[in-house]
Amino acid sequence: MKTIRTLALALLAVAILSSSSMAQGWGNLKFKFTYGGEYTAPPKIAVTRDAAVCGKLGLIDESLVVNPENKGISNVIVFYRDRTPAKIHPSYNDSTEAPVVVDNIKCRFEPRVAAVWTKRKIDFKNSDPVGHNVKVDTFFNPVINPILPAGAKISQSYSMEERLPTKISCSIHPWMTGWIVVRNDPYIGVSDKDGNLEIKNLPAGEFEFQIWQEKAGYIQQVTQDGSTVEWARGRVKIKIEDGKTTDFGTIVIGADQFK
Amino acid sequence: MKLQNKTTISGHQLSLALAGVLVACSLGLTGCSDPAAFQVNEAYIRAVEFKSDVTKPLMAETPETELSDVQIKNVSEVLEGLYGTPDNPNLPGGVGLNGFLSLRKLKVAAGPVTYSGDKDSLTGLESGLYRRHCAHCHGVTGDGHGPTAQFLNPYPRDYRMGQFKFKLTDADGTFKKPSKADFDHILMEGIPGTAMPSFRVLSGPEREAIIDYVIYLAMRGQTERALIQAAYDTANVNGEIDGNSEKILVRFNDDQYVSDDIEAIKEIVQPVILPWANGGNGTVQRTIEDAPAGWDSDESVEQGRKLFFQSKANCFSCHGQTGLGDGQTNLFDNWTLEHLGNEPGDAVGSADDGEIAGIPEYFYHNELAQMGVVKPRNIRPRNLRLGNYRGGRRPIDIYQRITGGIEGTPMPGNTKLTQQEAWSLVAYVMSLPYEATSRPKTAPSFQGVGTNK
Ligand code: HEC
Ligand code: HEC
Repeated sequence: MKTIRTLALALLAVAILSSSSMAQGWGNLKFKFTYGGEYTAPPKIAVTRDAAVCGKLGLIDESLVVNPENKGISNVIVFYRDRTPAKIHPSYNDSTEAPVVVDNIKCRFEPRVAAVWTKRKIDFKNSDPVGHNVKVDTFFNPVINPILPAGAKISQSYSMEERLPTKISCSIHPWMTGWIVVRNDPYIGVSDKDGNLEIKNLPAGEFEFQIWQEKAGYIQQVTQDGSTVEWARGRVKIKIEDGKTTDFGTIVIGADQFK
Repeated sequence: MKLQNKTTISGHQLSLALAGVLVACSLGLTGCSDPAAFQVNEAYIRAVEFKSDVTKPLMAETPETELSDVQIKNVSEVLEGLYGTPDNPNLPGGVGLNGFLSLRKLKVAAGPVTYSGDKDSLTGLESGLYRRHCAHCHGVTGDGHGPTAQFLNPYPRDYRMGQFKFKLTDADGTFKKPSKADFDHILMEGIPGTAMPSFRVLSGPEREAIIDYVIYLAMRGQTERALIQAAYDTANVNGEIDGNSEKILVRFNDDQYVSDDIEAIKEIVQPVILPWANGGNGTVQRTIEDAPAGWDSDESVEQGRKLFFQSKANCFSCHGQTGLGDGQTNLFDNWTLEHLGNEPGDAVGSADDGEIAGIPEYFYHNELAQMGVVKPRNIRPRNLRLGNYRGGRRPIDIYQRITGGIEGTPMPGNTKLTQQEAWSLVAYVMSLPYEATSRPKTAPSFQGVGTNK
């Protein structure tokens, strides 16, 4: 009798445990983006300014970065764009303390694509020995164009969401391009050097997401499991399941999308 | 939007349509012969259609999604509901304007030029001030595309982006809206070295009315841009939107939805209005402390000269080794960049070689020029040896340009200089016209980065 009761209690405990860790109305979303064409080395950048510093770095055009080993595409952006404002998982609250950092380093922006939840600040800093400026041409937020002396940092906050990724540039070194994605929620994913992208702790339910890459614009047509899928305007309705990871597997983006 | 299909919607047609009365202006009713109408911002519609899709404007091809004529007309109707017409301006309510602009002043600044001494009974001012004094350069719509615009260099300001160059409101590194005092300074002094004349001849109340009107045109232009964005988003919703088969912003003909739709429009308009109207957020004049004693001493000039070449200020990289403005000659301003692509390198290019940052000459003439886009030109950093300061020649003006930057152009602001350093740069810049050209200063080498090549 006693053993049975203990067992029942133990089971109950397990049930409570698992529900608190997973099934609370949140799920994850995963993609892997790969390039559907022959790999070709990206063009080199002709360094016309501060050649003494920037000229030695072997700078390349990073508007499309494909990993030669596994054809993974970096810097594909997936963001939540549903009409219903997103419910925000508590795990994101801590992130508001720390700023997003975009560094001017080695005569390029690092990272090239930065995700900015409007609750977070963004720091633009310069780790180079040469001076930079950072011109951010937001649409809904006031624009900025500060000088960033060697070693300097400026801190910026954005109160309004931007509909499209915003271009950032440096007028002193015109090859320098980067992007910030300013949204009212933290559900912004950027693919890594292997093309992997994961957005964690999304609210469960069916929502619209948008998929974008700087050279292609909206990603409109892809191959998934060998068949062609159309994502009109780069928009996809995705069902996020409670306590689960919705995995899109490998998504192949054809070379023609980047023409 | 079809590129060939020039969409100009007469204000009269719309106000009549809004009232639900279908009277064709072609019947020759009074007022209909007046050609004054705000032009639709076709070039921006094109930019949105192309840039949302691909980074590069696909020249001859049509973009994936185009706004339909019905949607464009709806944007114009909404805009007219909010702002009225060139002859009969209006101001949107419930969006935080709070008396920032005076409708009465707008009405005297607006309207056709009158020569009959037509005066407003309260203000005693003649109407039609804007069209008399400003429109031949800045255009009736404020698009910077009046009849004389294309012959001027720089081009007259297109107010519709809401960006302005010369103001004392930029302090903390974020560009702010100009204050009314900034506009008055521009009207009093003009912009020396450009076609923008001084309007000292106008009375204070006349300038006040015109200033309200310029702000009104800027707000209207910014609102139009925001509405076009919203219309584009709506146009792209997959499938039908319940009860809105035409995917328009405001369903004027449907009592069931119209008030909800108008409420939704307010959310689009408010972010445009607040930075102008909200005293705490943009329209506050910065106070610059007086220059410290000795700011223009020889030592200070020498300090400024060094800074000019250092990473902390980096002036030489654009203004050149000798300040002639030849350090970076292939940049574009924001008004031009809008029509170019998004690719790295499109921010620079030469407008002189028949190919304008990826836009061929023929494309400009056949398409962009038809939409009222002035021919792309490079923006040149100022030749600092001429001693011509467009934003004003008081030391404080130069101080503001160096620390605040010049909005809409590559000239950056600098919040990292100490006050003393910034003043030393002012001193150096102002000494440049007098520096003997026989001993042109060349760059000292700092950290091996003092030269361009
Ligand atoms: C002869 C042509 C001409 C006329 C007439 C003219 N402008 Fe201008 N205006 C210009 C040009 C050119 C510029 C751009 C100067 C620049 O970019 O440096 C300009 C710029 C401006 C600016 C922008 C200032 C800034 O800080 O960015 C304002 C505001 C302005 N004009 C208002 C007016 C008003 C109001 C009138 C009528 C009372 C007027 N202008 C008449 C040619 C003209
Ligand atoms: C990234 C390029 C760039 C850098 C760096 C730069 N400038 Fe400029 N500057 C410009 C451009 C472009 C203009 C012309 C803007 C316009 O259209 O009025 C300009 C205009 C000016 C003017 C003219 C203001 C007026 O009222 O006419 C001054 C003075 C000036 N710059 C000084 C400086 C100084 C001092 C520095 C260093 C602290 C500096 N600039 C750094 C690009 C630059």
